[in-house]
Amino acid sequence: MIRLFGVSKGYPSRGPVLRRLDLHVARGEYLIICGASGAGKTTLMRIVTAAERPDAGQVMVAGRNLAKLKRSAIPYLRRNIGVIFQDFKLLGGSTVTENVALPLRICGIHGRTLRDRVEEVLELVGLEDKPFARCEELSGGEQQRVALARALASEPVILLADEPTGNLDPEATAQVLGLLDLARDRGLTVVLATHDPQVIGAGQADRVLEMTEGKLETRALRSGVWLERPEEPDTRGEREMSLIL
Amino acid sequence: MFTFGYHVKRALVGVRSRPWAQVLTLGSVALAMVLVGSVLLIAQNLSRLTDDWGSGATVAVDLAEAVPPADVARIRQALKETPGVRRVTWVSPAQAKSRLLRGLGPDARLVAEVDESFLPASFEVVLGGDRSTVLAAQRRMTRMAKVVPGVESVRTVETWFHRLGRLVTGIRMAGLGLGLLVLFACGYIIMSTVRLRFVDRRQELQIMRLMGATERFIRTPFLMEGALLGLVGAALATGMLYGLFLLLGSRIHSLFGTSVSVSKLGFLPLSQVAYGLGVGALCGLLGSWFATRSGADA
Repeated sequence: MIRLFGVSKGYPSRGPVLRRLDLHVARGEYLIICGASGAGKTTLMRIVTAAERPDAGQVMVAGRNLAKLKRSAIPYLRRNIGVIFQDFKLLGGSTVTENVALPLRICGIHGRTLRDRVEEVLELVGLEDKPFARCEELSGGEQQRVALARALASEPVILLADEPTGNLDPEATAQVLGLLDLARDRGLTVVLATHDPQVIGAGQADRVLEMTEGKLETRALRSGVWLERPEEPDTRGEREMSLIL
Repeated sequence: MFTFGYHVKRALVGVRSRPWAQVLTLGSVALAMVLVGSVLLIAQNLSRLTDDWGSGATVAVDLAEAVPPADVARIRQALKETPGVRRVTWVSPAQAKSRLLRGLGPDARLVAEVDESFLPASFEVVLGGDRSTVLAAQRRMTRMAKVVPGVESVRTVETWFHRLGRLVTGIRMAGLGLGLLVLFACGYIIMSTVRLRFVDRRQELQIMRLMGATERFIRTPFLMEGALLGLVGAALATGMLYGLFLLLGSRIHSLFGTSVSVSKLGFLPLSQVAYGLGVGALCGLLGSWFATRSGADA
């Protein structure tokens, strides 16, 4: 579902952030990427959503090579990707329903279909009793659940979560992680970036990768099953890249 | 259609979000458009007044000495058949002298002894109809002086007509030039206002882009907002201009009395008002298009 081949990215102020990074995330996989702040997790997420272009390497998302994707086609690619953030990024002054309905409107869905879909996702995240509440009036955990409902509303195939529990208490964190597990169970490919050890231990991820110095190393094959030492570098990406290019 | 409704709603939310900025924008646009509208209104009413003055203008067709009666009758008939001629009156040398003496008043004694045969016989022609008909009649009579035997000269007010015509054209051209400048200024004002809102909502727009919103989806509410500002600004200008017209119309009446026919003064026709509203909306649309064009930093 997501493939990165030899991806490098740097900034003039920070120097290299990603160094010839390879990554393969299979359809329906739940992947956690952990690492300290500034390790490059967010940069990786932004590259996957085509918000940034890599300096080198190739990126394939949902079967599309981002380097060959026209600028006008990027919005349609993004409709396959749901994203949630540490700071929720909800529309200020809007209600829960307005926020959740936004991606549906962007996709051209309206009327009864829109209302039904909003009700469905609000029920999924446990906010069916607060459809008309202003987002500012909600707790942090509830706001993140609104963001999750919004990310899931247009039925994406990939869910990216960038430090989604960074601003939440343990109870709200557990709720959000439970919802990410649910999303994976419904067939979504989930990529969660975090620096929080509690999240790494609690989630039901298939793999845990650690990002250090712009490279990814496998730390666990399942959450809680830690490897004694880093696994051999994942060279699948290089092999597949040679087949594709 | 449903997306259109959503965009309209977003545009209205946008208009309400910074009420004072919008009031300032609308006020500036309206005042600028009142300026252009005033020039157009003045040009239009001057044009109407010249039309009115043309109707009723008098032309004197002087005859040569000793024109046979048959030729006089032929000239009279030719004048009567000229389009735009209302009345043709014979003025004999005696009548001409009498009029001259009346016109000179106390100085009449200076020419009292002059023989009346010194003055030519003439036809006094009263014209009617619209401006173009009157002008055409005058030109035709001027030609008569050259080609019709017995006609010595023709005295018309054509020169004044041309001067007034040039004045009206000049005012119209000035209005057009001013209009272009004002449209540019209005577009710029609306562009700045919409740009401010575009930057204000930068984070929201970035979220929308991440969700897969196309640039068209993002820009449409701003384009509508700009068009709405232009349209409302033009409508306000029309209202203000009409108020000014009513106020100044009555002033002109009290200043000039019956010498200026106030009933001939009129407001801009509906077609021009509709055109003005359309231009206002287009101006706003263009301003917001530039404010949100591709590559705009938001």
